Amino acid sequence: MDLHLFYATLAGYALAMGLVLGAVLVPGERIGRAAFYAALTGFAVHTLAIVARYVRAGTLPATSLFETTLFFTWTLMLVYLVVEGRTRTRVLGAFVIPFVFIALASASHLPKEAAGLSPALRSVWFRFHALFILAGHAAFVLAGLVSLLYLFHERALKAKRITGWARRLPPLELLDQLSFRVVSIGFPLVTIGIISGSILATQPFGLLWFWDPKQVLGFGTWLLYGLIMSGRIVLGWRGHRASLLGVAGLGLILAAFLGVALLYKGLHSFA
Amino acid sequence: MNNVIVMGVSYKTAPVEVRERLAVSQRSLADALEGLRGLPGSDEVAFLSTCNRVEVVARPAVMDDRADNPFIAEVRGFLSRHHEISREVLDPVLYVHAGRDAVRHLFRVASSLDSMVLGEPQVLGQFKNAFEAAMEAGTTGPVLNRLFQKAIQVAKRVRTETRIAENAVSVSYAAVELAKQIFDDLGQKEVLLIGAGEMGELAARHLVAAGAKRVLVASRTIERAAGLADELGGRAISFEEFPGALREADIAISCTDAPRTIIHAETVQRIMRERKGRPIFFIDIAVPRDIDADVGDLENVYLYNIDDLQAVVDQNLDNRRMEAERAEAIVAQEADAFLDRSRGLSAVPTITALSEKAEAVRRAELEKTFARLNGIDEKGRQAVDALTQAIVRKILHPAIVAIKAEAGVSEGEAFIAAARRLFNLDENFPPHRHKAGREREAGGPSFERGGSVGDSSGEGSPTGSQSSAPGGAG
Repeated sequence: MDLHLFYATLAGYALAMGLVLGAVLVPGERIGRAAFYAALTGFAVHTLAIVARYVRAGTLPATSLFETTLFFTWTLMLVYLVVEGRTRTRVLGAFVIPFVFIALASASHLPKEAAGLSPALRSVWFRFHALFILAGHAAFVLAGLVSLLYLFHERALKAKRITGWARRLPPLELLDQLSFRVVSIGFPLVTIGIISGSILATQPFGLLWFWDPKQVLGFGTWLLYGLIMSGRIVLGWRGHRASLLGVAGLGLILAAFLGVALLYKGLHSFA
Repeated sequence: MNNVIVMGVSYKTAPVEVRERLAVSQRSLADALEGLRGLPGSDEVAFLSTCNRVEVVARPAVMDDRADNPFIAEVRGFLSRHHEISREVLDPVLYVHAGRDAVRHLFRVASSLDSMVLGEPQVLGQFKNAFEAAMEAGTTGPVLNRLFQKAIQVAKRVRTETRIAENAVSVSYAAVELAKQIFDDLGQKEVLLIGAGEMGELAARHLVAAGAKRVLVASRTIERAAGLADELGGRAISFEEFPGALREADIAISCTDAPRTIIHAETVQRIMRERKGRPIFFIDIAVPRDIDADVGDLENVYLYNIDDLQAVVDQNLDNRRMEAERAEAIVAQEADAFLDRSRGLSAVPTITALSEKAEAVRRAELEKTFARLNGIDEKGRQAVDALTQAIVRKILHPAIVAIKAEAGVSEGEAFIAAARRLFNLDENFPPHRHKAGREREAGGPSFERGGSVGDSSGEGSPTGSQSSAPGGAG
């Protein structure tokens, strides 16, 4: 059942992707609005897919790479739809929806059954940890995509080549504020995730830090975003520099998420 | 629609010396319309006068789209008399469009495809005004009403479905557009105008119109600065104060006559630190330039000089030209559809449809009868055939004569629509184009539906095309 829902989600996002790319190319508001509703529908099915999996497994669907991708893209879409609903920035969707679609489409090749959770991790802190870490990182990814848009737009303006595509990007100032706002939502979430992860780790293992690559990369990411936050707040970093760091953060997260999950077998191998 | 005529001069055919003499002010428009309507053979007229064109749109009473239509000569004579301009000057620059060309031309004018600046928005307003003025003067009728309403509708379609009206095509407005690419809300932004050159003033004016929060004007002549600041609703500062003002300003327009650059990279770098990286947009419209080119390489600093702005404008114009091709296709398609629908209301196809229908009914009934009459011989068949033919012809004859007679006058379309309805010509013999026309119309604004009630479907009242005329400018 939940696999059918998964493929329905994929179909919904495929439609939304086609529409949102069309909306960037064709004038008029209609296609953009249609894309938004297609994405919204896809998201609703996506939500059902996760709920169905949760009901069946009785635990948060974050036990395999397939499940974490499913959950991660869900949070990403959630944050995106909130931002989109407020700013009506169709171009952002042209980045986020294909990103989500490709992530889910590649996940469809992964083993889809829920992995048995090691008894050591069966704790309420696990749910806390997974939920907050994933949601927070989804915010970081969205912010990273916005920063990417910022750099594209900035380059077009600096090079004085504002062609049709660049012209329809939101103003630099808005992109900059948007990525800052989204990071400032994600940062506390990840912080809570890390704290709950520490509690989770000390309970069975009696150890806070065991050089798990994910732990290292994750902590590195957290430090980077800490730097971005404090740079912005204290030193008044804006625009170019903050966006570069945001894109670097995006790369780091993708490396941590995919690289470790695919190459390394350990406690965090599933996610 | 085949008898609509557009005559006039535009920037393409006539120099301003001729156009200005033909131009008619809003006040004297009623006079001109009255004069035009008074011409022999005149029925419906409208007058469009802008700085780039002067055109008479008319529907002569006699249906005739030949180039030597006597009414055309009447209008030539009128323009020459009324505007005191000799025929030798007028005739070579005056163009005449008739029938399909006239419809297409009007659609192109309303859609700003025939404008000096492609896609400029003013012409549609002027077009609407011309229509309203003619309606007020009572010189339009069902044909021109439908034509103008359709032209306005086509212009709107072109505007929403193409990007022909997007993007600035003047240097000063390009500056505003760029500012909007950088800043989210100009209402929170401060403009600093350095020097009082005309171009800079124009750009500042556009920024204020776009909602800029505050304007500071720094000029070497303080009186000029004060005067300008007054006009822009801003504040004047002394020229020496401008580097300090750069700490606050978001958009700095420089347009001095200084022989060397007055804003250097080191200065701006220092200022950017004080601004904590808040972005700033420099617009250097001065020649020779006021701002070091290196300034544009600094982080969060954007610098456009006059050539950069011109390049943006050129790009935009190129885009408009590309969009114009798509717009032309829309106009051509709409013109054809419009003419097809109107043609349904002309006499000849109606008469044909009427005869064909009668003949079809006659044959069908004959066959039924012959099938039942077993004993009838060939001679008998011929006699019955001739009899039915004669009956049909005699009944239809007055109707056909009446349709031919009505076709030439302004209420003719309503009359023909009534005839089509009386004989149910559009139900059993729906020529495809009528059906298509009806479908296209179904989604249109209400005035358009009203304006063409009588045309193809024959569903509305015979006077539908008249009663819908007022208030349809929408």
